[in-house]
Amino acid sequence: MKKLLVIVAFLFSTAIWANENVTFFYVDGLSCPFCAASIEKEFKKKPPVESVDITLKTGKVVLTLKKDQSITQDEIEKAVKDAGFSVRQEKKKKDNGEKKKE
Amino acid sequence: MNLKWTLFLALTTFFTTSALAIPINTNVALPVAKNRAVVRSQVRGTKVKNQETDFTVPFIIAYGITAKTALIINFSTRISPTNTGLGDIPITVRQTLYQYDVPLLTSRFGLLLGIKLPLGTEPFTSDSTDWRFGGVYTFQHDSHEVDLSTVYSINTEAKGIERGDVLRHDIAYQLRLWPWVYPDHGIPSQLNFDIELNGIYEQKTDVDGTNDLNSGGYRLYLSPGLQWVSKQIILEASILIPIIQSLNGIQTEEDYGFNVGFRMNLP
Repeated sequence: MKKLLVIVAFLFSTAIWANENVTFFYVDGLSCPFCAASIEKEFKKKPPVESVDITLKTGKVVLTLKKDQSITQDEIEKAVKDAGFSVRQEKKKKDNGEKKKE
Repeated sequence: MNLKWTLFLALTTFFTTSALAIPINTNVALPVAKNRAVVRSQVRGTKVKNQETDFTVPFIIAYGITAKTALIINFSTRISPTNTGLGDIPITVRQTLYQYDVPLLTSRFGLLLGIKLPLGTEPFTSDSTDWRFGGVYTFQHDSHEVDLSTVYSINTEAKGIERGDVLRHDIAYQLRLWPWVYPDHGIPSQLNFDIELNGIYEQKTDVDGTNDLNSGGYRLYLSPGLQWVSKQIILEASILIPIIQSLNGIQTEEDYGFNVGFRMNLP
């Protein structure tokens, strides 16, 4: 019974991730709302991006993408660079690993 | 040299390139995103002893040519008790040469290079094309920010008058008062306390090749202020208290200055 519950829970959580089409990364150098807005605008103008959610405290940027849309790592890095900031390289790789575990 | 004229020149030099967040009277090295613009406007008043207050209303546009190169143009309106007109137009380029980013911390250094075009109206134009160069450094970490800036202005002769060169030096410290700790999610608006030391050294003015002994000198202001910062807009106010006024010859001292204004991220 426990195994069944675990399997159901796993399938359910995977389904949520698949439907949301979410990707995230971390930005370094962000330390004020006015500056964070430029990151938000850079991504909002990109066609695949439906919404942008930034947490100033951690520098985490969560992109919700439109259905069946994707954004490349190069596009992410260019947008952050154009806004005047830097993508956190090591942390990003680690978090991608964490996401896969989820 | 006319005192109001001197004040105007000092103020236009004083505030030319401070269009970017976050200090109120000091230049800053924080970025303007590529192909995006930030606008800033203020009402600045200067109260000189036994005289009515003079006002300057600048409208400053900072445009990101690249993420490291910003173009800053300052259009200003001058309002004195007897005249209203447009000031000369300073145009400045800021090039970021050094950038270090880690979580909640950025450290940046940039060079400033500018020209002031004599496009103002009488009596607010100097009629001279002037040059300026300098550097700006910003260190921002979580609730603290320190900014250092030095700008040297080379003033040229026009109509027999050559204003003395001007050296500005500024240091600013900001402390985030609220929220003291950022929340675990989102981009909160914040309230900053700002304290600055703003110094201006100005050489004597030459009039037809002769030094005007009643011109030039050194002023140092202590400038406390408050700032409300959100994603779209910054509201700010600052008082400039002159703590050193070492002026050559006979010149009237200032009582105080103030400015109230906003900055806005354009869509």
